[in-house]
Amino acid sequence: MEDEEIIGLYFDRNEQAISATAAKYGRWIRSIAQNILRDASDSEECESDVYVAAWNRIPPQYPRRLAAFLGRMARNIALDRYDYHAAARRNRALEVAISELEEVLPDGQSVEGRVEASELTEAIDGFLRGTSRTRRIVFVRRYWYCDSIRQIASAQGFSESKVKSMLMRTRRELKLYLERRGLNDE
Amino acid sequence: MMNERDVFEAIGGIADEWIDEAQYPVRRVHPLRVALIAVAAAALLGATAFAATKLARTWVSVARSAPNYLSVPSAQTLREEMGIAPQIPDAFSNGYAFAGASISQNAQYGEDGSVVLRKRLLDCQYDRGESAILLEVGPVEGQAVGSVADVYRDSEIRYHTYVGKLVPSDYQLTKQDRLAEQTGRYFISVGGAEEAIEEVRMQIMTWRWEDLNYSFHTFDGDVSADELAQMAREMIDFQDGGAR
Repeated sequence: MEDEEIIGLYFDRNEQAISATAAKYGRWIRSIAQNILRDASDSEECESDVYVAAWNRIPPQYPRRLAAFLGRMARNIALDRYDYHAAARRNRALEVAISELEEVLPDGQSVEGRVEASELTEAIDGFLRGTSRTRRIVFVRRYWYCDSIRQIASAQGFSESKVKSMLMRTRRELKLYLERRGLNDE
Repeated sequence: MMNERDVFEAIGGIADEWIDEAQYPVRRVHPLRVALIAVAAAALLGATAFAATKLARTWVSVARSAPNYLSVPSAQTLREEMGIAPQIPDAFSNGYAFAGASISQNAQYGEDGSVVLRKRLLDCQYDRGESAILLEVGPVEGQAVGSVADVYRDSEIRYHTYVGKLVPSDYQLTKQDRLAEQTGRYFISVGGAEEAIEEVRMQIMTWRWEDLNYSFHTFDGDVSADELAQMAREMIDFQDGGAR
């Protein structure tokens, strides 16, 4: 079913919207949640939460890209759930991915001074727009989808060392980009 | 105070287009390009009804950058949306599993630039580790390509292999390239590679079943011809009701 038809079902308050969403995007939503939570049961609950959230948001929202809309909710819901359970069930792979982003900060130190989250997102968006498609996809797979290096290497047909060096270079360039925009000044 | 977690959360808000784009890994573009080249090869080598001497670039294939289907589409869905009703399996016995499907719009142009033929094809991608195979399904047209590798349930399963050269969109064709295309030594897919020129060995396994043409496309020897033939047999059996 096309996305427009699924969204139409939400607007009609037709509960088939949920089953149509699950049929088309269920596996994808679970995979995003699973990368963060590393727990099948939690990921399934996260998937259900995404359907409830979608039902509550559409309408009034009309997602321009349904996949990204659902994926973003899956990521946020999974992260909230992860934070809640973090003390008991730490996902070391996720922690490693997040810690890599320390290299984007100047000299690995936290930055003093307030940077609006939206400003930072906008800057990262601008940076991604200017980078090559290959490196952008690898970066997004690592830090948005939270894929492991091995998963990325396997899916892209690259060696793990190539993925690592690509990510390292991208992080360095992002750091310089943010500095040029005055977002990394201490 | 900003820390790495803030950066991670800021990345969570990036534009939808980057999230969509990353659904489809870089190398997943290749099988769709393979399809483009394969169709071109079919036009060149066998489809006598459609000006058999046309070169690869007379075929234009457009597929969505994001797949139409992220889960296996049912025959009924495909009948409603494409007018054809193949049964699409979620996996094959050798481990290739469904990874997404797109509907591509294909047009063949004549020398005067007019459209000679339009057709819609279903392109399903199956992955096994790093390896990807494209299953293409569409209406039967022209003559089948390749040599008969097997006959299964009265259907000829044909195999064809050739060299494809994937080049960036700004690539200027050389005299050797044109000669190679004319002689069938290799075929060129302009825009098939993002940066450097890549030469790949293409494999096609194709067969017809109940008024539809099916073909597997793969490259660089990720899978053997025997495996492709076995997958074709499984696919034929699967058409009997969706159970393998």
